[in-house]
Amino acid sequence: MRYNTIRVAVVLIVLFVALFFLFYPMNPSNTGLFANIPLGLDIKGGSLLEYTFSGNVTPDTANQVVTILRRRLDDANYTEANVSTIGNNGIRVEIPGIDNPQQAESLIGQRGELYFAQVLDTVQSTVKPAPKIGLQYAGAEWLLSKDPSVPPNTWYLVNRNIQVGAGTLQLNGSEVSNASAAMNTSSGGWEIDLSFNAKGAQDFYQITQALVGKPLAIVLDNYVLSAPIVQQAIQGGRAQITGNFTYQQAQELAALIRSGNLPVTLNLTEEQTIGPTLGADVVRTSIIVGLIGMAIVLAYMLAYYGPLMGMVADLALVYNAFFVLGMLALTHGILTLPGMAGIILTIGTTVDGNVIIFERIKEEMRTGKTSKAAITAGFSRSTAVILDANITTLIVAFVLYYLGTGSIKGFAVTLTVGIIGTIFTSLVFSRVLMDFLAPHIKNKYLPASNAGQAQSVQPDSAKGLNSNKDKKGGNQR
Amino acid sequence: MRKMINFVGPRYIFIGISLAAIALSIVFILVKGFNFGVDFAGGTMITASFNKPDLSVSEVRDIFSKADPAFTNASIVKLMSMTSKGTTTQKSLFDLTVKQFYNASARAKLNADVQNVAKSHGLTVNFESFETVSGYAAAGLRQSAIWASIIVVILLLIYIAIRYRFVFGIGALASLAHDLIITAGLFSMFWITFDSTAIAALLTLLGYSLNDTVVVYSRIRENLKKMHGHPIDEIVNVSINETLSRTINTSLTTFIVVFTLFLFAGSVLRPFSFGMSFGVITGTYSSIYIASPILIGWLERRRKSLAKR
Repeated sequence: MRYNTIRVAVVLIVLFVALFFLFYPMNPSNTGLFANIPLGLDIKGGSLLEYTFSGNVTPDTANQVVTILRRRLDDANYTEANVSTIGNNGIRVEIPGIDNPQQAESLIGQRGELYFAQVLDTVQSTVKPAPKIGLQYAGAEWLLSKDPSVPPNTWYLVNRNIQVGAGTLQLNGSEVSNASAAMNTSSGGWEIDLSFNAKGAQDFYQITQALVGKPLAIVLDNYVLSAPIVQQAIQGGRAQITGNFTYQQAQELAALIRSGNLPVTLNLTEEQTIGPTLGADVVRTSIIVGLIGMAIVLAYMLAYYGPLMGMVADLALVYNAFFVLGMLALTHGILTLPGMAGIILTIGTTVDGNVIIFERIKEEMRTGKTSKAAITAGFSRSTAVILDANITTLIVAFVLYYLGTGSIKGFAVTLTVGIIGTIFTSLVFSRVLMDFLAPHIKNKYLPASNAGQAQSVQPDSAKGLNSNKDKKGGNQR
Repeated sequence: MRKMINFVGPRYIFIGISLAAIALSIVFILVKGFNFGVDFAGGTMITASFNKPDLSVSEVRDIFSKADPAFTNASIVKLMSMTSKGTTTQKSLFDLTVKQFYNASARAKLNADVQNVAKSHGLTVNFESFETVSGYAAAGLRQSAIWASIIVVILLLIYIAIRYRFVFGIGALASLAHDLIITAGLFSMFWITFDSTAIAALLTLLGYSLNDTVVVYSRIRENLKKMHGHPIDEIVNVSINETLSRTINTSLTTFIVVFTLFLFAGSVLRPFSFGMSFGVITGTYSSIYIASPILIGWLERRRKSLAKR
């Protein structure tokens, strides 16, 4: 009985914890019945993008890229975006709530390599002009303009080694200490304000001094953002990129410059975008399916095991359902569509646990034990089987978790939680209920007059069928 | 006493049936192959919705292939129609699959072109979901699926070998291979999309089938001690019968839930629920007719060699 008191306490505590994390409003802005369970992209909609690296990949590259992209996405207001590494050679970006990832893709896919360059020539052409021959053109290249204020198809011949006095200077994004979008007071469009660090400010002053009256190109990812004519030498380490940008463009470019340039080029290998409507639709069907399946199983168990044991099995199912949902809320396990399938599967495993126990109890009753003794023996003899049976599935769940991708991981999570819940529900929760109900459960295999006494009879011999094959425990002892 | 069903008597018949089913499955897998999902084969799958409930597949093909000739050979499936959130407008839904990979700009162009063509037909179209996988990423996914399967099988065998005798490990392996090959064969036969959720189903099914097998095995082990002196085939048959109502109840309830999922859940969970539904059936069958009966020979030989000593 003492053990049973402990069991009752544990069952109640676990239930309380599960319900608390499931229903207590953790996040006041996020209401709804199961608001505490984070939903995967396939349910709430959003984009998943996967990239591999090309270029000079070092063991640290993936982490660098993640840091830079997090900053970029945060800066551009994708605050819910999640960036993670895939091994050493790739990254995965998940952005919930967007249904057209093009903007995010252009933000992620760019290297963000910014530099200032001297302009040697300007040409309008629909194709890239031929390289110019001559000593003064060494190291120069033709780049297309992205500045909407100059005619389309304008090409600039630029050289990043800027002639300053007798030598050359280079100035690139790493000397930029800050970049922000700002309103251009004269034209009304948006521009990007840059501030340089001490060295950058010094270099910028020298460069502008050398280029007074000449254009200075600002190059981002091999496009000329703008190429203004330098009016005078600029001191104080500040510069503007005016290009008649929209607010969003200016903000994203500023984010790109601020986050620094990526050490490698990213190649998109996979994209999955799910609109929020589709996800909601599938969730609705899955919940209905789960409820229908559960209702059928509840009815089946009641019909097969009768009102008392059937009710225990049904309560176990409901208890485990709350356990799984509560643990998902507690561990912030993300619920994906395959994850919902995992929860629905849990119905099967919970039933299995109870069926193993009930069948064993029935068998123990046939050997002539009292209900109480049969229940105790039934539980203790089915413990090993229940553990064995569930550990095998647990092994599968662990492997799927470590080797699966996003949504499959979600399945592994709910499967794992479901199995742990099944083991607990079967061995502890059902035990509490069965012990409690023991006086009301009749051993129908005992003659009525002997009910309540431990028997060592051969209850099956009366029928005489297959008596040579009747090897119940009672005969053996 | 409950009536005993003789499962082990006609075991050679059932082993024969299973071998035939396995052979048939292998033929299907080798000849017809799998309908790989875009995550394994590379390519693009679009779920597109149109603002007209009774649109046909050929009209959709017409619209998409005018926008992009790659869709002339697309596989197009009409899904259940959908009501968009907060409205009563019925939309028709289609899954379109092509072998091409679309990067950001190609995707934007496709979207714009399809919109234009649809507009000229008086329709509006929306990409409800868009999944595109390059050959490189697909190869990676295939590889991790293969690794996952190998690791699962090895770990399960190690577990069985630790908990039971080696012979049981062999029996379990045989029934696992049986379930895996037949279910994979069904995927090929019915041309169900074979994607990562299908792999998840197959591996979960391994766990389940082993679960069924383990329950019977632990009973055989128990009865080997309890029924000392009885013929092995009788012990095995008694054990199967004793666990039969458990096997049937468990399998039936699991089957009910996964089959409801298969019937009503959308295309995303279809490969998974298909694999699980038929997997539960083969898993139950194999744990009754295959996993235990094939132990009989081994156990008899073992008992004889013990008796000689």
